[in-house]
Amino acid sequence: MIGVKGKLSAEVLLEVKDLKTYFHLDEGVLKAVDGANLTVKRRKVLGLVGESGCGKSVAAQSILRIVPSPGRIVGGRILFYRGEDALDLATLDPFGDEIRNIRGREIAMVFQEPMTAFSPIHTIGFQIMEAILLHRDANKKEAKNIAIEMLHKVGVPNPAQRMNEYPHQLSGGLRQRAMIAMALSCHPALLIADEPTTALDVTVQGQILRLMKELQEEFGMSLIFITHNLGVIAEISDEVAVMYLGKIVEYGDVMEIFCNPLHPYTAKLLRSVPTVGRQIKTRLDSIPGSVPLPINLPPGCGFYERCSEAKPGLCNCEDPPLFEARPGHLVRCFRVGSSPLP
Amino acid sequence: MMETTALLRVENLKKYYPIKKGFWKKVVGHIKAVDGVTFTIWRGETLGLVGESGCGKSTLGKCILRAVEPTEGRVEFILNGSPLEMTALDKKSLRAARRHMQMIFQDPYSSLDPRMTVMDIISEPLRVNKVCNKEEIEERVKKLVELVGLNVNHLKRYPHAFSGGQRQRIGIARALALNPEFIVADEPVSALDVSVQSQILNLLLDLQKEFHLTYLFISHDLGVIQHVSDRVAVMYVGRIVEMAPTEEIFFAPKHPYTEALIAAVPRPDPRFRKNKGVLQGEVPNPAAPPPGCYFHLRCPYATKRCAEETPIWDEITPGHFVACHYAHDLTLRPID
Repeated sequence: MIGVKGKLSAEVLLEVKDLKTYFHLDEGVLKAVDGANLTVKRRKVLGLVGESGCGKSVAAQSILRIVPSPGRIVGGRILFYRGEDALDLATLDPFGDEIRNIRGREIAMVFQEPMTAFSPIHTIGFQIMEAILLHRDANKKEAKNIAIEMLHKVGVPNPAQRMNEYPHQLSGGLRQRAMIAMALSCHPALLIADEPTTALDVTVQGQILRLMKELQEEFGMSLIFITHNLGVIAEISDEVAVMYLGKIVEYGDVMEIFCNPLHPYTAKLLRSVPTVGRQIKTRLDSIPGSVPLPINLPPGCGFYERCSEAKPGLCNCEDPPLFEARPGHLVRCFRVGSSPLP
Repeated sequence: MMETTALLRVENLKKYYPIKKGFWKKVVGHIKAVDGVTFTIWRGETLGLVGESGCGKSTLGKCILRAVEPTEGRVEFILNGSPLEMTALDKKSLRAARRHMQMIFQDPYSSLDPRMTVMDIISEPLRVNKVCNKEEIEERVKKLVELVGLNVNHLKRYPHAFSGGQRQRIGIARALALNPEFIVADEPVSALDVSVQSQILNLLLDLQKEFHLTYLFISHDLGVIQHVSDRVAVMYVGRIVEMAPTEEIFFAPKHPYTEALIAAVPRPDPRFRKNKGVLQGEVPNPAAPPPGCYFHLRCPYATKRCAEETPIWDEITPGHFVACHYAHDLTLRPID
């Protein structure tokens, strides 16, 4: 463990600094996460939003050190503040005891498709109890009681009976509730939820969002909520990080991001979503082209090709740094004229 | 702006899938995917069909084209002023009729044959229907490709070389090849990224204007539905529970399910954060729906009558259809 004295540790739980996770493929180096900076505050919800392939899931996997092969963290730090100390998760052995003790206990994860995240050949109860027995000081009977209590808490009807059922016997909404019960059974300090409501219907999505927000407040934990759905982000987040091609292009308070977006990508994205309550049958603003594959990218800003406000000779030559447009509102764009962050 | 001649009349359309069990494959019940649906689509309009997964909206779309054989009911397609009874057609005349109606699929990855070039894919309907000779086919395909915003030089490529949005454009070009009048678009943008979604929606709207197309636009996304539709039909467990012009659906809903659905949509604006009640429970199993109104178990306004009596499909104001006992009495919350 690296004993870094964190003066911020009272407020900040996790700090990702200049994280780089690359996949070395035959075609070249796929830079899934390429210098991402994130700050997760204690008892707050960080919404991480981006389109598919922007690296948001790999960023989450990097924090838990479960990046699938051939992906590797090649640079940056992931500082996890516990008490006075800061532990750099990026330096741990992904198969070592230390990260295993953190996974599931201090940092837990909820996945998009609960059908594939659960083992199909074990009962729900067995799988929740497994996590409790592994990480908490409890015998089998206590673990069972904790599991039933957790299922009850997340709103699964007849929890004692559901314990003996297999994942396929549960509906999508119930499976996701069981997944949340499992993740929270060890009272983690940080929960990472990767598209937890994407596979669900709108009305069930609303239920799960409310449940997660309530539990997050009750347990006093931090939450990283990953989704491509801007509506969901607006609903649940305290802070928002917008990701594009492996980089955080904008970061700030949820109100700032949605009401005063400064990066052209964020602004365009917000104007291109069809939303209820808007005028009907009008043309939408759209971003030309599509997200490129992050292999062998040209230098400069990743959004250059699609940006209507790009300045040739500047944006396509130099990678813009993060500028602090206002206190707490960071933007990776040359248009935002102020001094870059140190 | 809307012409008021009918293009398509659907009457009491039903599609039941048998549930078979045991060695003798005894039929033990039915999944009522589409359970008695009646509506009309006007020429030149977009009818948005919205509902949660498993409510039967895709089955309904396919039944109309007879890609899935309906169990019961009539589909009448009005072609050049004379009605054509889709459900009574034999194979040959059905193929002839299908020239006028096409489908755009949800998944641009599985709806294109990976072993056919773009040229082959788009020209296939032209070849199958023998509408033009070889030289004309190439001309026509090039025109179509330009129309949907693809590069003419990429005709020799295979689908895997294209992104999701571009593949969806190929699918749209294929659907347009025969100059159809009616297109069933089944979740055409659901598999696409947000920034690409709007490009495809804009394209569909432009094409509609240019070729006077009529769309049945199926989606689970209310934002998309509101954006493209002239009228909206809300479906729940195999039945349409409400159908009205788009503004009325969103600003004067009459069915409690519509109210709940529009309230549940998360909006990309933190100032609209919801403090209102979330709809409880989940969609019932279409193999064993509850008696009476299918929605009564989740409905905050349900009474004893709702559990016993199936509500009738009623036109409460001109053009506004609802299936709810209390459609006249309830004051429901519109979108804010």
